[in-house]
Amino acid sequence: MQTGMNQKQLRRIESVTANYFFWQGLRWVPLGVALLLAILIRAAQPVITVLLMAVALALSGAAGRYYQRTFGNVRAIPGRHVRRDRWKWFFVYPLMAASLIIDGRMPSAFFVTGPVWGAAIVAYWNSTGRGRLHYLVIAAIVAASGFAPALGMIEPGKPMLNAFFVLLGVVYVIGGVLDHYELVRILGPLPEDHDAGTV
Amino acid sequence: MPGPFERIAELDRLVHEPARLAILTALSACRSADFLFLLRLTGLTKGNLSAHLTKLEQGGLVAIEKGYNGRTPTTQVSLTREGKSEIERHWKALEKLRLAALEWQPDPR
Repeated sequence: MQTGMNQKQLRRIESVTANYFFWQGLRWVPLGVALLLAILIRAAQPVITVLLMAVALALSGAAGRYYQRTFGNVRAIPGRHVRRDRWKWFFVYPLMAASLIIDGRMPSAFFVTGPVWGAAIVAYWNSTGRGRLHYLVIAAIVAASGFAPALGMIEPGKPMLNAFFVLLGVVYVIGGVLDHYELVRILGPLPEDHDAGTV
Repeated sequence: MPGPFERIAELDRLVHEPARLAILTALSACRSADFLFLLRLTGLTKGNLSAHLTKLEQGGLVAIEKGYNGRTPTTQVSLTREGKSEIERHWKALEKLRLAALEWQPDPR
């Protein structure tokens, strides 16, 4: 242990512990790959999409067990994130869904979903302990995608929606890998041979 | 009346020691954490972490629960009610000290 603990280090310890689940980046990678595959192979049949998601969820669970084995386990305080959950379910998610509906039904040169989902990513970053600065870059890229149709990069409507979901899949993969590296950096290597079961 | 720098000495050493403050801070953010997580988070050796946890347990600030997850032995650590109020009191005391240090003027005599 270092000779002293400054407030920044202590805040980091608190936020990593309180949001440990969200920092386990490898959990999100299979979901991103499944989303990418579903869009890229144009999985028209729902059964393929369901199968992809089932495999992704199984791999995500395996990643969770890897974290528990390698970095340990934290039990969250029930109800600690009530405020965050309320905002998420009653404000952020409905807004995200509404933006998709708007862009699906009324395609225009400005892709509303981009900035709305970009803002949602900033809210996610803010509510899960801040530390992972790559989410600010990711949010800026997602928000900027709103201008893609206006710049003539892609047709509005379905082509833009498909491209957005590909971007989202890439975001899940890259964000997840970077989350993982951030967690590994913070938790660090074991200082000696360990037997996690003993005190 | 003691100045902010003298008052630092009055802080509870059981809580204020850096490793134990890190452990208590982590535990204040969750219901419980296991030994492995605390080991990775604090960067302490197994022996050091054990010693600090024993001191905190003896001081009544943490509860240690041993069990099994399948065949794997696990050690869960959580704050006791006293531990929670102690770490909160400590944070408040630190914040007061910080503010007092910002306002502090050296004695002109």
